[in-house]
Amino acid sequence: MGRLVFGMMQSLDGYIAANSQLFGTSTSPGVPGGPVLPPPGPALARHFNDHMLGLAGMLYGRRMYEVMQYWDEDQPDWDEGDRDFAALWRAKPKWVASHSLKSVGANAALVMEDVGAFAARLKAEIEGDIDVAGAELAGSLTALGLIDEYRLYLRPFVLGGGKPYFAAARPPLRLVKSDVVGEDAVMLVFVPA
Amino acid sequence: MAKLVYGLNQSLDGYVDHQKFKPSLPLFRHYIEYVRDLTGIVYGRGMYEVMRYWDEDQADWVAEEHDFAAAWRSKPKWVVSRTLKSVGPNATLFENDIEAAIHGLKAQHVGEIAVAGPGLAGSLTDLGLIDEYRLYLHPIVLGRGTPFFAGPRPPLHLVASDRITEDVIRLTYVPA
Repeated sequence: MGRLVFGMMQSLDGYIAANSQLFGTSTSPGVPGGPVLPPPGPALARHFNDHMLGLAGMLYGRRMYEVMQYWDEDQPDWDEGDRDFAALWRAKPKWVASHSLKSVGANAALVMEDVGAFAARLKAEIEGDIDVAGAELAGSLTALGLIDEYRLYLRPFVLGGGKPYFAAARPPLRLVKSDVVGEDAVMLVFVPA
Repeated sequence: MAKLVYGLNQSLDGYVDHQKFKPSLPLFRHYIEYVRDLTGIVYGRGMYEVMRYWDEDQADWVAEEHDFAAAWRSKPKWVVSRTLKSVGPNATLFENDIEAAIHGLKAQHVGEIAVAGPGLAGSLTDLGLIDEYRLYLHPIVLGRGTPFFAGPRPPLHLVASDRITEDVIRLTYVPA
């Protein structure tokens, strides 16, 4: 039995990206020219790499997958940390929920069926933690009660608007772990109460 | 020189709507101690009107509610409002030049002065007057409401993370 885990960096006011960092279209409020959520420092990046190493795989929404496909191809300006991350990422099985994509990259499978049914089956068939990547996808799976763990990585920035980590209200959670990780993040781990 | 501290209960998505938070008895006891130790409290109108509930004894109060009321009544309160004509016991109305008034409060007092109310805290944040932010995170997700932070602000720096009760963690930040 696998577990679906949704974890992301976010600002103290709950946004995973400022309006100016968003790709595609968005109706969420934001502050043009306002602060953005900076990339993780080296220690926090190592924490994420270690976490990824332990995953059974990742379930992606289309937009997040398209962003992450950057890691499928080596770039000349990468440093060692980038290359480590790319190697880790490529090694993990990926499932991509999309009705519009026709194909996906290496070590990835396209999920065209109902994502809730697929996620439930994935949990039944796979052992270990499966990362849910993308706030919309996580919102859909939250509404279906399929997410087993939420990992909030609070960074000390206040954006004032943007794309929220939680797509909508949900029933109460229970705090199971808290830790200071990396340079500036507080990791809070919650499970449904 | 007093320190100006802004802290409130909030959801994991950053909303502070007070009716959504029923503090547990242990959390309520934490707040009794907290108020007892304060030098005073600065209120915006909205939050002051909510808190005036504590100016008058209620028949159904338990011992902790009487304790909180006694602590709260004993503290000087400064209320920032252009619409209120009068305020209750142990309270002073600030009607204009908030910046000078708050500077004066900080200069004339020592210890900790709490700021209550997200609107007022937002104005004081923009003026760079808040020395410490305390986020009391409850494990609930509201989806909407009044945010703890009224708008964007420059980066903060984590100074403490404390489990206050079984379900509430307090994160303390200062301007970076």
